[in-house]
Amino acid sequence: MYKLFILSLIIALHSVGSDEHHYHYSFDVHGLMEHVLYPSSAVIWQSAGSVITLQGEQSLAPTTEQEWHNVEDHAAIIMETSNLLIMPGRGPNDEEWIALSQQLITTGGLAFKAAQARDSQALFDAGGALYQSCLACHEKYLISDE
Amino acid sequence: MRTINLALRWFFASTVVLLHIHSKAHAHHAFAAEFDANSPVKLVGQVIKVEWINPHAWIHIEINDNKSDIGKSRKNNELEASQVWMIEGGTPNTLIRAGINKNTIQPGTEVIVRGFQAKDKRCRPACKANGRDITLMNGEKLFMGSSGTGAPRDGSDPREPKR
Repeated sequence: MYKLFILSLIIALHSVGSDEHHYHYSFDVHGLMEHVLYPSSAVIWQSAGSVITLQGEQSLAPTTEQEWHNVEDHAAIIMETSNLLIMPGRGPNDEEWIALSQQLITTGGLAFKAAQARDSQALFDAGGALYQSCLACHEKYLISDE
Repeated sequence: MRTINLALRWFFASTVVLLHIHSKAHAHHAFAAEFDANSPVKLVGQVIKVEWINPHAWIHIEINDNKSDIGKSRKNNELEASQVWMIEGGTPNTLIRAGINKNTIQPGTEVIVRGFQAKDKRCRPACKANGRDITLMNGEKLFMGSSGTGAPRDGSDPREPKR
């Protein structure tokens, strides 16, 4: 029994040590938002919808395979950012933080599928869902300097 | 596309860079970070562009100075004020629920927008404001803002809880 306890302790300490030694945080949550999540979200938002003037309506949807692939790539980044946000020691990591972070898997996934299907309306809808997931988290965890 | 980029940068600069992560519940202060609740404006002019995009739709209008009321906004602006105003609306989904779709506000038509000017009053490349409601040529008045953003409770949002 004692040997089993020691073995469990060694395994537990090793796994904790592994986390500490293998994670290198290049950015805090702000940096992650500014340099990863924002640029990728902007690609999703700028790739859907339309601009209407007296000259007519211009769709913002991708028009080439390369542009659609670019949207896919950034949707995938959004999905994986969910995991980066819940890495130990980065955010508050309470239940709600984890749940809200994981919404990015869903909303980023909607954008990814829409891009794969080359469906501009679905991409637009996914952009709306993505913003709602941003807003839900901001309402809970952000406060201004004012 | 440049205006969209600027708008998105503006959104994130004010909501992400200037804000702190807190573990307790707090209201979203995006409105207060970007717009001046003490600078109400009433803009009368012709729609020249509608950007039906996420996360916020934008309406560009060329204002009629004689009919518009931009109050102290113009006085505070040392630069020559632009005649073109960019009005931030809610998300397209929010606007649809309020009765506004991408064809409701047609370029070339005259509208009246009530809202609040941006804290940044340099008006470059255009003056900016957060729209609260818009009155169309047929007299129909529609809420065009976002709920829960910290915008003043001025009664323009019919879904806003009464105090």
